[in-house]
Amino acid sequence: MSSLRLDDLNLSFGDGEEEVRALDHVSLTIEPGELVAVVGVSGAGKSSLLAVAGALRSPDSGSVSIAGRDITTAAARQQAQIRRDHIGFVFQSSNLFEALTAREQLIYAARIAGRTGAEVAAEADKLLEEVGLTAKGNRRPGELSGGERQRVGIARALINHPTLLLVDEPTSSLDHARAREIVELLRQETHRRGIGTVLVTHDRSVLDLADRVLTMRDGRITTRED
Amino acid sequence: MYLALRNLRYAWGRFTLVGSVIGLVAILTVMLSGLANGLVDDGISGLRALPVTNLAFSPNSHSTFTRSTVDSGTVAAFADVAGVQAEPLGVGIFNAKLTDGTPTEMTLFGVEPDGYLTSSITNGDQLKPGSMDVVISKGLADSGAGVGDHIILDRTGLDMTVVAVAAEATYGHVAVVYAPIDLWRQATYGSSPNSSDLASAVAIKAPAGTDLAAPAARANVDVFTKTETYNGSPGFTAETSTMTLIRGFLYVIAAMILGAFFTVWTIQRRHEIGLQKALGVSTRSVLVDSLGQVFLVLVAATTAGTLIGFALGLAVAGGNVPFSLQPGPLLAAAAALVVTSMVGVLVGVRRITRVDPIIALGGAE
Repeated sequence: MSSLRLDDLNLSFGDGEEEVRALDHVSLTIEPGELVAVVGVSGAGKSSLLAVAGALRSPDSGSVSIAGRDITTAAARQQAQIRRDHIGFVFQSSNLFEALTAREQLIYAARIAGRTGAEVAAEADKLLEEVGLTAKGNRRPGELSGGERQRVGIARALINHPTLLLVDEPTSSLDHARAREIVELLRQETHRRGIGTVLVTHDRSVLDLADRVLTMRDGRITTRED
Repeated sequence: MYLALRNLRYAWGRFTLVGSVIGLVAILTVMLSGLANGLVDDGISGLRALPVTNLAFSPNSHSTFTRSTVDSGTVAAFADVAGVQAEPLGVGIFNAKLTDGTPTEMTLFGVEPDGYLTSSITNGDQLKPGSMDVVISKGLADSGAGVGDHIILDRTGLDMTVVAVAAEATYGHVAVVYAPIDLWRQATYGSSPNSSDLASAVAIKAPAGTDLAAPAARANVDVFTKTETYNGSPGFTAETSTMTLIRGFLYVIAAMILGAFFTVWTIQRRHEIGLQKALGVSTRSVLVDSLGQVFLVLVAATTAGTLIGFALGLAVAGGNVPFSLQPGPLLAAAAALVVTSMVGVLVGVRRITRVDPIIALGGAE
């Protein structure tokens, strides 16, 4: 069963002369344990791809299935449930909750999926250890560096055992060495946990770490580098 | 509430600030309630203390004693009903001088010396038929009159003797003096020969469920419950409506302050709300959390403000300010503040429903 299956997706914004085709006949399948990088200039449709794959937008036509479940026409509530149960998001500039400590970010994400208790706390500690932040579990985002925040973001995305990991420009605010560390961490977790991961990035220097690289232009996937 | 509680702790400065404003509004609300109750008491406590259930007034007098006149026939119409006690009651405000010449004013309650009203006032045997003896209420005693003193009514020059002091009772913000009804008639009508059976109203004590409409129709009078007659007391309607208006404004102000605060707070948190939704939190759950958060702040601030207001009220209650607080109206005022404020907050947090989780994807194209 594929982590993500997109079939002949179309998505447009605006209408008439102003119409922008954000996704133009996009088909894509991501298998468990596969890290797929998506590159392309701004406006090429990368974020739209994430939005549809992440059950944040419904496509105009085509079909989307996540972990074997067709969610093309899911209502907002079902979309939220899919996000909760099957998808891990790692956002640009980490997007952590300002008031929560690193550890609480993970525990809160678990609570959203209805999981509480000592088992979750233990898992949060183990994940923080995996991303190298055991000593900083009680710090809030304001007290962490950009790289550390991104690691917390990754740990948070993993706590609910997602089948699909969607990563949006995770290295945009990091220097070269830190950026590479982050993508290496994503690669390890993807392989070890058997998650299908989509990594949207501008950063060509990390592409060698991906299992596959796709280029997008004008809403189309134009090249497939294997 | 996981995130809501932690936000509360994290941004405690802001919440303390808005909480203080609500606390101050609560203090004002309590003080105003106390003053309103005090004023109302000052206006009608003498009437409220009478052991009557209903009062009958002459037609179109709008339950105002000074506009109404009844006679012995009217009293009899009610006294004839089985189980009902009915007596004439005279009410009028008079200027007078105390023994030492101090000018004062009083509300003269004319009652039957051997009736059921008299027995409720003091020991019940002080007012003798045909005498010039009166019983004063505590307010007048506080301003210098005592047992054995004389009170001389202006204009008629009637010389009354104080024989006892009864509990605090006022009507129309003036201390009550209880007098035999004949003395009240002399003070009110002078020596007019046709006045010997007149009174302002009929004081009725009837068991619940008694039909008073039939005797009222027979005697051509209007019957009111005791509470209804408060509206006819001098200034009562104006005072209560003014206080209600001010309190209403306070509630509106509190609702607007909270509405404005939580509008700004929600706009500031827009990105965070988008993130919550992107992670799969339902809109309903985000709303409930936000309202729960506000409710905590609101209840804490209102409780603190109410307690402080209550303490301040106790401090002024001893003086000349009419101030009276009962737990019932106090709780009602606090609850009203919480409820109206929550309405304001609803307007503020309504925009939570419109936040699109897609904003969590920073570089949305």
